Amino acid sequence: MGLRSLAETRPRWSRKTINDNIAGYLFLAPWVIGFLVFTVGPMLASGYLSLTKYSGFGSVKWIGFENYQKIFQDDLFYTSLYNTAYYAFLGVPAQLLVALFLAVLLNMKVRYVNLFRTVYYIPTVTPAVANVFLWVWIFNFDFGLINSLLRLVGLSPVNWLWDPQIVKPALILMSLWSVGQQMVIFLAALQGVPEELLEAAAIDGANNVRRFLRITVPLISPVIFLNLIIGIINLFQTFTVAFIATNGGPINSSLFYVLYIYRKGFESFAMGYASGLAWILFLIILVITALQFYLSRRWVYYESGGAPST
Amino acid sequence: MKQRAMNRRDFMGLAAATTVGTLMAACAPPSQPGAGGGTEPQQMEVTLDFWVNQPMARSEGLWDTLMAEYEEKNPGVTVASLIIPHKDYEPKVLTGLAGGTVGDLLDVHPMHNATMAMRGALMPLDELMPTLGVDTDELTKAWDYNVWRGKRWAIPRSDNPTIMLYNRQMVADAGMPDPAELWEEGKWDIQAFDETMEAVSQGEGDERVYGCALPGGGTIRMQCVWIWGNDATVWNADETASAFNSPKAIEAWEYMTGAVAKGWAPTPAEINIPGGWVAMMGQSRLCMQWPGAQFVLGGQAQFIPENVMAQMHLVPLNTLWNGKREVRNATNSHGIYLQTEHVDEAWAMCQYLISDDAQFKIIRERWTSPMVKRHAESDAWLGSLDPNLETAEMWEDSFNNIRAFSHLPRQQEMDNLIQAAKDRIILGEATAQVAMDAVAADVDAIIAEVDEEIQDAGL
Repeated sequence: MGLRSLAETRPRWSRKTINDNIAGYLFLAPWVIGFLVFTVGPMLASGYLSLTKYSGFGSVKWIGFENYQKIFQDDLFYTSLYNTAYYAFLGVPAQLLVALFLAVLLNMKVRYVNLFRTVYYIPTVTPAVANVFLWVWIFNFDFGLINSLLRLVGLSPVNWLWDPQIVKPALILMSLWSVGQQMVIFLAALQGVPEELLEAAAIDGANNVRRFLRITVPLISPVIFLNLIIGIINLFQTFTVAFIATNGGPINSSLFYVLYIYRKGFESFAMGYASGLAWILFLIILVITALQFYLSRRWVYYESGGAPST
Repeated sequence: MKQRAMNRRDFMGLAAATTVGTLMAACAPPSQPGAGGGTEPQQMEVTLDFWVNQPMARSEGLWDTLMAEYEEKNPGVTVASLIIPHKDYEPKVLTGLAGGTVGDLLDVHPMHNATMAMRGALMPLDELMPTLGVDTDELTKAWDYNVWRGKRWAIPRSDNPTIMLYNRQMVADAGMPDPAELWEEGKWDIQAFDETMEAVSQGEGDERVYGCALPGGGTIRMQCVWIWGNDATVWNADETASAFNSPKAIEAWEYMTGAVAKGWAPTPAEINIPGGWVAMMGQSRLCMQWPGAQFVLGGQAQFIPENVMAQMHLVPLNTLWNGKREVRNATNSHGIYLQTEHVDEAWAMCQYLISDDAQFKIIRERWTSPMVKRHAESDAWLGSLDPNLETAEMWEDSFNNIRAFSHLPRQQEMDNLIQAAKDRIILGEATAQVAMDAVAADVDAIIAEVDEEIQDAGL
């Protein structure tokens, strides 16, 4: 087909269509401009800075890949990466399980269910800093709630935030306090599961567990996948909890990657180095997310038969 | 009146007009004060932005009073204070500096002095000093902290020589002699301190009580006291490398970490509660602590219940292994932003805050100890002392033993590294020598980088 015939077959836009398109782009413009200026621009700038020696003050000195060479020789880079991966890969499944469990409970038709839904969501709207302080109290070795309960039943107290082996699981436990966001998404998905399918299965003799595993879980698998993606991205970017509760200690066992970026960027003012760290994190999250999309074909069920676009 | 619905064209026009109008308003130059065309005489209006490190303005009432008095003495000048939490202060200032938006006056904690000077945040004040209104021969050691590389970068406005705050009742309950009485008898030494810590530290769970917090926590600018007390130093003589891993310093580290391991001092995790050690003292879970007393008396005391505060007493620090009383001092100071357009007004603020007027107000609120000799003999100072808590002799003893710690740039980064090494020792993962040798190498690398930056900055 020649160019002429292509042009001839292209639908001719009416004035109204053109005006609609202009209006659409105008409405999009604030977001697009903001995205370009406040996200893409800084990303490109940090990509450039990662190839320079720059403190935030004075001149920028081009040093090529020297920052990356230093990063890969930096013990704290590996420590913080390990801590973050541990936190994310154990924390996300735990969060998903707890959020799904709560959503299932809150999907039951019981009295005051709306009150329960509100109560369980409250920690999510509480400022993160307040949540962390609350848990610092709960985890206190001497008078914390958990250790008081352990002592009450005759068990030895645990040094939650001072034992290098325990501190990360403790912080994961802390993260379960704020699963309200995932819980609400699960709840919405659960409410979309067709009743007739569950009833049909019940008539066929399937018990509750079987119905949940064989019908509910497959039908909400796209939402599980969504929460998985968001959860991994969020936990790889964890900062507040380590900054306030442990300041990365003890012995850097809770030094998470973004806290390390912060220290390099805003305590050492090694902006080039910190930019390099940020780009490595971006690439890690990108690869993990791509991998998740690839693997999702094996377990995520779309009623339409489609798959998430990669 | 006939009304019609807004159509899309109207809406687009209105949206465009609003957007353009908003942009024009946002981009318009700020209106000039006094440019209203009235009959008032034209007077130069200046707004002086003062970035304040939060602990340095603990008493907001006092701070507001001081700023109001300054404004009264300097017509046409308005002070806009931005109070920033201590932990965020340095990153906030340096980020603002990189972006070209910082206050005209900047608070300077000793640990920030060299960093801020090196980064070009502060103006050297030496040429202005003769007009400060304080003779140099009147100055106490409080003033040493703001001199770096031979230049003065800030003027102190309050001072905190360390003196020990302790719960007299808890010591008595543990069957130990009173530290203040021991001090009067010349027996308040490291052995007496250890015995008191050990006797007080006891209990479990809610009943757990610790002797003293500082040996286990904090920063090299506090830990230096124990290192000095064993005749070692933190840095080498010309401050080009660390020396805190020398054999004598290692003994000091073993003592500090040992105090935590023995349960005499809380771990960093145990003390990391809202309010920190002040809250622990308020709960009678901590017996002794050696902050600058002003830190507690001038503001933090509000977090200690009255009945507990009534049990508190002060005593100078105990002597250490070398027989000396090594007193760490910290001033809260302020400097002038290198690029400010309001040098005169900023300097007038420096003059005001060290004047008798301002200093006596600050002293009466127990917010500083004297930084000028005549203030140490003033009624304001002597009258501010609480006979049930302290004596002028105690303070004199502390003043006379002040030793300034040299804060190198990038102190915070060094502290993070040293803290991890200290954790390793406490948790038994490395000997003090191994842990400190490893971290000394990292700190030396920072010092070398700092040296380059100092050369680049021409200092």
